[in-house]
Amino acid sequence: MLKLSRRELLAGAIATGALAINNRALAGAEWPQAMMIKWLIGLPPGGGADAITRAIADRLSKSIGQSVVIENRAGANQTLATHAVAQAEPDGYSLVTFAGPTLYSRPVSEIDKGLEAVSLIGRGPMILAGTTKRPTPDLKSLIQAAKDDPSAWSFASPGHATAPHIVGELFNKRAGTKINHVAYRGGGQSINDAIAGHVPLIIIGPGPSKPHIDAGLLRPYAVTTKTRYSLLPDVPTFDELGFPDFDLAQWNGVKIRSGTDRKIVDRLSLEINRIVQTPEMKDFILNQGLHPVGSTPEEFAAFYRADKSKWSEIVRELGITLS
Amino acid sequence: MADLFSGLTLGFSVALTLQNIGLAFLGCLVGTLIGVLPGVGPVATIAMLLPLTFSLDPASALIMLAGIYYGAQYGGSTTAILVNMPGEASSLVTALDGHQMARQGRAGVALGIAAIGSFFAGTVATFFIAILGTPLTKLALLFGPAEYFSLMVVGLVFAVVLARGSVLKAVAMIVVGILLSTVGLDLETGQERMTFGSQLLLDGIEFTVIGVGIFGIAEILRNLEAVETRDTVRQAIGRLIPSRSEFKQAYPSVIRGTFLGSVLGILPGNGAVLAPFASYTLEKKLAKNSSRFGHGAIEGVAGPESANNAGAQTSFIPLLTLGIPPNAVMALMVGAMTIHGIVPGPQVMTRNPDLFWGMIASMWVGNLMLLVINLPLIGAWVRLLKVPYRIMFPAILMFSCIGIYSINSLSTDVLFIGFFGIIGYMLLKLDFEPAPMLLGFVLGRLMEENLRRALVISRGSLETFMERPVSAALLVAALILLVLAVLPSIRKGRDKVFTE
Repeated sequence: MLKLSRRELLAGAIATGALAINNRALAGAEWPQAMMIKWLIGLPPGGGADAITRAIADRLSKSIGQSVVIENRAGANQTLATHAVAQAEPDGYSLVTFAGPTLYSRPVSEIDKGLEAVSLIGRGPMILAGTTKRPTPDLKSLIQAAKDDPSAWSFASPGHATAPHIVGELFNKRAGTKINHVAYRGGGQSINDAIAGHVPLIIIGPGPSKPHIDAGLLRPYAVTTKTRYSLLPDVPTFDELGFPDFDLAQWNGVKIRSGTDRKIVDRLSLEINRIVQTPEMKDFILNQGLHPVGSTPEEFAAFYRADKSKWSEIVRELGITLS
Repeated sequence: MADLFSGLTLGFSVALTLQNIGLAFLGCLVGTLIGVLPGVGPVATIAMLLPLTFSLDPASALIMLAGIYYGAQYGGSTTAILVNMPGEASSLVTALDGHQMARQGRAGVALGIAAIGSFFAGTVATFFIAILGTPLTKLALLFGPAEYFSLMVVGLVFAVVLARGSVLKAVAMIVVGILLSTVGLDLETGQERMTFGSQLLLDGIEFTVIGVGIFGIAEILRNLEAVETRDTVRQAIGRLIPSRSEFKQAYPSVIRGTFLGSVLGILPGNGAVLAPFASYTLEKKLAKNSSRFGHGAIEGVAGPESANNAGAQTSFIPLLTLGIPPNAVMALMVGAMTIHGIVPGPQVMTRNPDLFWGMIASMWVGNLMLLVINLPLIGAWVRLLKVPYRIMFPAILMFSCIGIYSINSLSTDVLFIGFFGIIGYMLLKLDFEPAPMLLGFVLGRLMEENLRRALVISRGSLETFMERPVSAALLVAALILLVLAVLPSIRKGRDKVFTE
């Protein structure tokens, strides 16, 4: 057993503390030092946000000459990851990807306070699609069919109170339909069931659904943003189809511990924007279902506030209980 | 047929380049070592190693990652056999008879038959994928929520058969397992269930935490209380390679397990998880003397291990043909493809044939590597058992803690294995068997979610389970199995009444 006297322990603690302070003082001047940057993501590896984060991190690491390590800390609606970064040192070495919108009833208040915006990577639509086994060629006939025989229709989402779930309920309200919601755990199984027609409809991002639309296994009805998704230019928007101002998007952005040196935040934002704007990365992000954006910290912060109040408004209007 | 041949030729030309053979070897080796550490699963490892594959071409990257996956599957069995610590649902069944074999000094035989059975199963499953992969996709599409629910009901009947002692106690344990699986956010309503307000329980409990706690830690506690038992493991090492008679006993189980695993692995709703349980149940029912099961029956290792590996192999079908990942590891593979600019989906087969066939060919190469790596390692693993227990158990404890911590970087998970260890020890003392509970835990969530999905879709009509032919057939099968399982004990009870 290793024995340490109280005095030795105390000395150690002071030394570590001093090092930490030292780090922070130097941070603004010489960031990044020989210290790896930890980039957290609150989702399991494998999804779109994870792929985008990894691709950007890889390029960021090359451009600032410092290793950037991705850590997937999945759980509790991303709050495990965001909470961890909200409590990290504001030294510029902890980033977190936000895959929004994030809707939950128990936001840990420190999270919003503890994080500040760096850059909005991209935003993109969700698609209402369905099995090709049903004889409804377009949205209009789908709405009619759902009104004629409500019990025959249901839609799959990746979970309760996720953006697709809320989009579906909003659609129900505005179209006057009563299509049942079926919650899945993430995308995989729900796509399988929608292709096979076990669940006739699905609302999902274009990243996972486009290959099946291209292969003729899923029929797209409409996209949820005001602009069409540029890789599926033939799919109309809800707005065009008689749902004025239907404009809901999913997005990915980067946040950092609030109170981080302004110069570091600006530098990171600049680097990330530059990476997002490269043709290769633009293509990559587009393929994941988002339109690449790249923004200043202020733009992302303003977007985040507006987006949050928009979704909370809808959630309140629909009376959906958040988890 | 010509397509298949040219496909396989293309595949082997990709898989057999020096670089890709090397990567397959590396992947399998890393996977095996990682799998041996309790708790550290393939998901964490692949996520960590993903950046290293950025510079490789996509086929090479996937070949290496797939190697880690097979390796970890196999490595997990080693830990289950040697120290009764199943890190994943798939190695739970192996622990039942495998560890008993180790206690009888037959650890080498158990490891050997696991390696050989896995190789055979992997080889068959690979060709199964190559020949039938595309048509089998249709089978996957047959399974909707109602079918999965009924399949899980069949699975629960396996849990009753798994039990060695009282059926009543087994049923009680299954129910506890199902209850444990309901901890966390309710999928349909977002309500918190049994979370005690803790954020850490929102996503439920990790299988690894329960598995390592209830089996592994409890085993350590039991070994520490009795000097003799732990010494029997230590003294008798025995043969390392199965004898001819053992082979004869095991090979039918290997074939049956391979078949079961191949079929269940195709289902994208993680049907592979049932494979080892199904195989164990089948072997126990077919055996002339089923009382050997749970006391070191070689069929109880050979069958489930083959089923597990075959299932691990064929679970690539939904991924390769539809781009739909059936489990967390496959989701990572999707991520790896994405990062390399390949859009996973039904078009991969036609647009990236080198990748598609290269992966298939590399599966077989990977399985061969596993055999090459593991047969020589058996001696080393078994020698580990010679280490005095007072040195061994702190090491096992330490590695378990590190492994568990590495999953989510949560120190509470480490505390949880201690908690479940104490529960597991109490269960042992009271003669309750943990295996049915763990199966209940694994199946509970799948069962509940699919039940509710099916009912939402049918608008509350229970008839949906009987109207759909596949679902109805599975439910009837479950009923028959249940009757077969319970009948002997009822008859025994009656005999007793008569003799008195």
